[in-house]
Amino acid sequence: MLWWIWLLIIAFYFYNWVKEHVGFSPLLTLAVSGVLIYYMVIEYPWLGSLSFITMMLLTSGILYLLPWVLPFFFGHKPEQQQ
Amino acid sequence: MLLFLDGLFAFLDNLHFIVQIITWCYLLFWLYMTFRDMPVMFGLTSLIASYFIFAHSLSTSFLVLVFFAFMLMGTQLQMLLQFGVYPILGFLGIKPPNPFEPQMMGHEERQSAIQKALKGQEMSQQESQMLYQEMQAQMQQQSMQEAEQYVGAERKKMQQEQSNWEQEMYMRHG
Repeated sequence: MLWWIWLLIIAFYFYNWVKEHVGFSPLLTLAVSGVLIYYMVIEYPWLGSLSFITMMLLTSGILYLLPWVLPFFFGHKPEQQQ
Repeated sequence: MLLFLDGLFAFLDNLHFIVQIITWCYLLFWLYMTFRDMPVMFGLTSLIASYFIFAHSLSTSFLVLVFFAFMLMGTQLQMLLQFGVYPILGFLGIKPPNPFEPQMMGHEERQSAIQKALKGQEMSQQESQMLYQEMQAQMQQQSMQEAEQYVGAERKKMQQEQSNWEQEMYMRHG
């Protein structure tokens, strides 16, 4: 059940992506989203999930947090003053 | 084995097709936004773009990938390098490159450059640049030393005044 909900989510994501990019033509939107959903959700759902997660990582801005967080774990320790 | 390879090739073929479609969508979107008020231009350029994507797909996909990596993700790449990777390198004891560090010359190089400068011969651009950078670094160091001396003297003076004042108060009020 969860798997089917996940598939629905990524299918909607692909449809929305196509609508955002070729939304000026409804026919093109249907055709391209059909192709994308057929291959990325029905044929290769793992590839579709991977691309969905990667796109979320790239576009959500979570990568901007890495340079703030990493120095806390890998930075220099301040020298203790005597 | 052969069956597996067949499946792999089919997968790669489909993946290639998907990448072509996605690239085509990005380009169509960009063309539509660019030639919003010129349908003829949009039609012509979209035909040309489609030709390039579906006939010269590999090179076009490569170019689009390069564009994405260096022009759209460039700031993130730079920030990850400077604030994420360099601190880790420093922690591991590897000195990251600093393009603003003045380049120091070797002894013989410096001597020959100074000789040239004294004789009035022409120096190469690199030599004069290095000499100039060294001079700047020395001046900076000198001014830093002067500033430190000044601050030290001021601090001493203030301490002296403080102790004088304390002594005076002690003498007055006991």
